[in-house]
Amino acid sequence: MSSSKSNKIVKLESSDNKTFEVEEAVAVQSETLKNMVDDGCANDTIPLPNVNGKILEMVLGWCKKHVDETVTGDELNKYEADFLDLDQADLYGLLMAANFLNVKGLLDRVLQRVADMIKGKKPEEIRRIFNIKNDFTPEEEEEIRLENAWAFD
Amino acid sequence: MATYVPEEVVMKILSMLPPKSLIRFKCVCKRWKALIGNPDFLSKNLLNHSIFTQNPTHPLRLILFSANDISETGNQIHSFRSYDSLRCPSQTPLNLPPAPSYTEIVASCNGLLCLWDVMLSDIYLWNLATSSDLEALPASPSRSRTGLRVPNDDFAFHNVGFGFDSGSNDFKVVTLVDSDGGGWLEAEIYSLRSGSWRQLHLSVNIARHLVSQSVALDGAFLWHDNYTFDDCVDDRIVAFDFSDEKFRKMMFPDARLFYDYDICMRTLMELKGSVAMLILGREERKITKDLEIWVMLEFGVNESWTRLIIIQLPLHLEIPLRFWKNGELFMENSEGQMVLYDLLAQTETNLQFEGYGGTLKVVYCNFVRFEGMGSGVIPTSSCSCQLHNTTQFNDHEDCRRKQREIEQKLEETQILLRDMQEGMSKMQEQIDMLMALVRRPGGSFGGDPSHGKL
Repeated sequence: MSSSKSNKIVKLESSDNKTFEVEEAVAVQSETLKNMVDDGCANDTIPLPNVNGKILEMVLGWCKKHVDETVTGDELNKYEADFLDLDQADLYGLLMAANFLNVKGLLDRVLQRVADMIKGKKPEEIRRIFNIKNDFTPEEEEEIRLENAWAFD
Repeated sequence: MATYVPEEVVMKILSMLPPKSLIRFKCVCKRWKALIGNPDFLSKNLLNHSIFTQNPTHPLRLILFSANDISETGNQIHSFRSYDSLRCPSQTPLNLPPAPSYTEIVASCNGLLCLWDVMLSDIYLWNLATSSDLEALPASPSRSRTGLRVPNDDFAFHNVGFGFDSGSNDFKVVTLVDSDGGGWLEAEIYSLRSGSWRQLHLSVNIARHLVSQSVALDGAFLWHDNYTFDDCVDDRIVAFDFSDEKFRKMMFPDARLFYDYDICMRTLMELKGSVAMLILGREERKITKDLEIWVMLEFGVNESWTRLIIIQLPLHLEIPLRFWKNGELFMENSEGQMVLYDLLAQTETNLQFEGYGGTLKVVYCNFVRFEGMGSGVIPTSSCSCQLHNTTQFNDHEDCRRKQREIEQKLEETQILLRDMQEGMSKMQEQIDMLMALVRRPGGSFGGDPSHGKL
């Protein structure tokens, strides 16, 4: 059953129990999965409890696109730009998945997109987005604002 | 919304934010304040980024090293290097044409280099893409008043600035001169599109000592003095914006925040689009120097000056010149040599360029085809040379002459080519005859006539 190119299939299961089957060449775009394959741990279905089905499908779509030799440079650029046109919830799910799976290029793109989205926001909005508790007293927070008033216009 | 973002991901996102956002997010929570407030974080964020943004319309970026010749002949030496490798570019050897007398390189933007002949108070523009001769600008109004074409001891520009106004797609040169009554300086501006000079009205008072050193930023020019620390003297940065053509004054950080060095030198330069101030301080009996790097995080906002980092430097590194990429700094050492110093790794590389001490300079150039920038925007005339404009150079005699020379050369080359081709076909005929001879039965190579012709 061997051919000149390895057509080994990797099986993945998302947190919501959806299974995906992809060629090894696609899966190893993820450094995390590549390590598992190299270590011989990828023979059974790999469970990914921190990535849901919708996000996993997107990530695998990205990986497939990047191994497809018929895709031109321009097409790839457009694909990457459109890919990140997501709502906030999906974007953060993607961020977590890209970080965990360590997919080349995808993580940097998502990080930049997130950075661009938050750079103009107020601290209160940042806390809401990242679910961060404000552990400053009102006086402490006021002091920081006064010290750096120029950044708060 | 994320329920929990791991610290490493937060760090990565923070490292992609502009400085102003970072400072604002210090009040999000204590963990973020600690992360952002860590001086290493901010300095790596700014130092680790390339000076040039990735712009696909500027494919080839060059660095120009210039200096006075060591032999004190007054000649200047230039070396163009590739921005990425710092080696001489193999594609096009660039030769800066010599000027009549001692010139300073003012700045370079979008494929043009501006030179200032300090003795004769002439200003030249040079097109890097076409590598043509230096194009002299017409004399400025103040220059004309004191008599043209004669070195005049009474007249000199105090300083010159050059930049590009992206709003009007125009290159501009600004000069600072003495006013008739003495006292504050006046300014004039030249626009390449109009081909003429104008007097500028200043809303700030600029004293002579403020404009000894200059820094080119994107769309703006800064002047300052390296040494004034005395409280009584106006010690500020003069900034000129090429779009609104206004001068503004900005403050240095409070001098009381600096360490009290025995000997100290201050210089300004550009870092990732912001203004950076470098203080090189020396204390007697110490075996190293201190380099303090401050950055004005928000342009024009005096309160946004932030000290990034203090680094120990070996004593033989004298003058900081310009930031390169990834936290490396071009410097002049005590022997007048150009050196690249890695601020974070604390290693140095000699760049094989040497000049008279104190005269080394680094200029960044975009080697871009000027046609791409100017077509349809800068008024074209019957002359294809884009530096000449309608009003100032009416008959384009020089251009036409050059064009004729080129056409002549082309003709001569074509004649040569034709001769060569004729010569070659004659040779081919002779070869054919020889081979025919050789293949005849009984010829020296003998052989089978059925082999036929070649």
